[in-house]
Amino acid sequence: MSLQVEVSNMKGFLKKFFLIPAIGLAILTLENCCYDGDDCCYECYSHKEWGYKAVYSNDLNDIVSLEAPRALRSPGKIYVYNNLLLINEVQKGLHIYDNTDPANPTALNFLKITGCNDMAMRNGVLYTDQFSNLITIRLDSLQSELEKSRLSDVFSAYYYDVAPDTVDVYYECPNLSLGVVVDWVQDSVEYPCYTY
Amino acid sequence: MKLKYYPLLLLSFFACDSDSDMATPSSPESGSVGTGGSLARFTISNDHLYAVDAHRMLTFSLANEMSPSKVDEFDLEWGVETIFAMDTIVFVGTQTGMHMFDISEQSRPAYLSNYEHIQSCDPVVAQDTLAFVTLRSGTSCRNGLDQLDVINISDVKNPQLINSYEMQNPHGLAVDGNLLFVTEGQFGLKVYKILPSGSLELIKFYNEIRSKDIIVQPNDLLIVVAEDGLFQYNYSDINNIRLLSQINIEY
Repeated sequence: MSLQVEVSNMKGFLKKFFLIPAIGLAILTLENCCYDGDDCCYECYSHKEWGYKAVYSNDLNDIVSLEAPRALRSPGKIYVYNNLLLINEVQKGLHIYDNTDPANPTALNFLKITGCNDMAMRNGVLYTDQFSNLITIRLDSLQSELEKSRLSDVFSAYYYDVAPDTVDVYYECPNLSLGVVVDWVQDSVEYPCYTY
Repeated sequence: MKLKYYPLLLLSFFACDSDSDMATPSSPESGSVGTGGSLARFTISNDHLYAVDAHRMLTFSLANEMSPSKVDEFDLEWGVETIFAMDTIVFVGTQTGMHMFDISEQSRPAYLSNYEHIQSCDPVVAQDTLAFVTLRSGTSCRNGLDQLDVINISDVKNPQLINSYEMQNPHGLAVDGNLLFVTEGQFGLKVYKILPSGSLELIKFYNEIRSKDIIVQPNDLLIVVAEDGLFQYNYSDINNIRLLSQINIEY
């Protein structure tokens, strides 16, 4: 019994002792954190900044598209399948070359897949990651209407992998549950993230 | 610095995949399966895709090839980086070691063992009874060493270090018979002869071949990618690798 009393007294003491500083700290925290998101809060100078707003899509045709070949930039991993040579452009997609003659590789297409870093092929079918999703694309004939599918949310992926190309700009911290960010448009952004 | 970026910074210590690395001739059933590099996070064996993310190995059945389905998930520690398949063994390179799985039952990988080393970035390739692991220091690889380990895996339940070699900045690896290629980033490309004892003998150091990811192909074709482009070489004369073509990067 006496132990219980002691404990309850102790609780009262703790409450008194810590409540005031706790409230103070909470106020300070609120002042410093303009946004308390899912993960944590962060310090910012203004609630609104001019920057880039995310354009989301859940349409696989927006996420994956076969385009004309383009110049190679930021190469990532490479992959060979029969006569095809694939070169990943980090987070952007795959450069596809006909490598029948390694002395003269010929650019065939750029396969745009936003969020792609890895790939493997079997029986003419390409498997690639697209942020947290697994994308399957039949590549045995390269034509604009590609047969494709998506298995959603199988890999761990993080919102900070998704940002505009430009450095030193504010942008909308992406909410990946809204879909895939397929474009960025300039606009006023609340509680923005920042590219470094 | 905004606080929101702290988790990112923390995670960046665990993530070494910003540079893509090496490759090697991998799957035995390569008739219809392609070849990736040693920094690959995807590998296909028979009709299953094995993939790693930051902390797991995931197994997908490709029985319906246009509609893969996840059939297994194995939790590992944070800092998983690469995957490599050899016959019925899958090797997973992490920042603390190398895990081995038996994939005799394809849809249910069985954990075999692991080999631990000092925390570094570490792709792995294997051939027969030897596994080769590079450890690379660098921006996001804490406590990094620059080293190449040769590991005896004849007892898959008890991998044993045979030899360690000091390196400059090893990225990727590729094996072809008794030749081992190691990309040393901006320092060049090293070619070793693998001796029956598991020791390595440096045959040639091509300082001018800056290289990160690497794939070797039949007909002595070597494909490397570096910051300045993709280069293809013929290595039929290993002492005199010959440039076949290059694709330059546009800055």
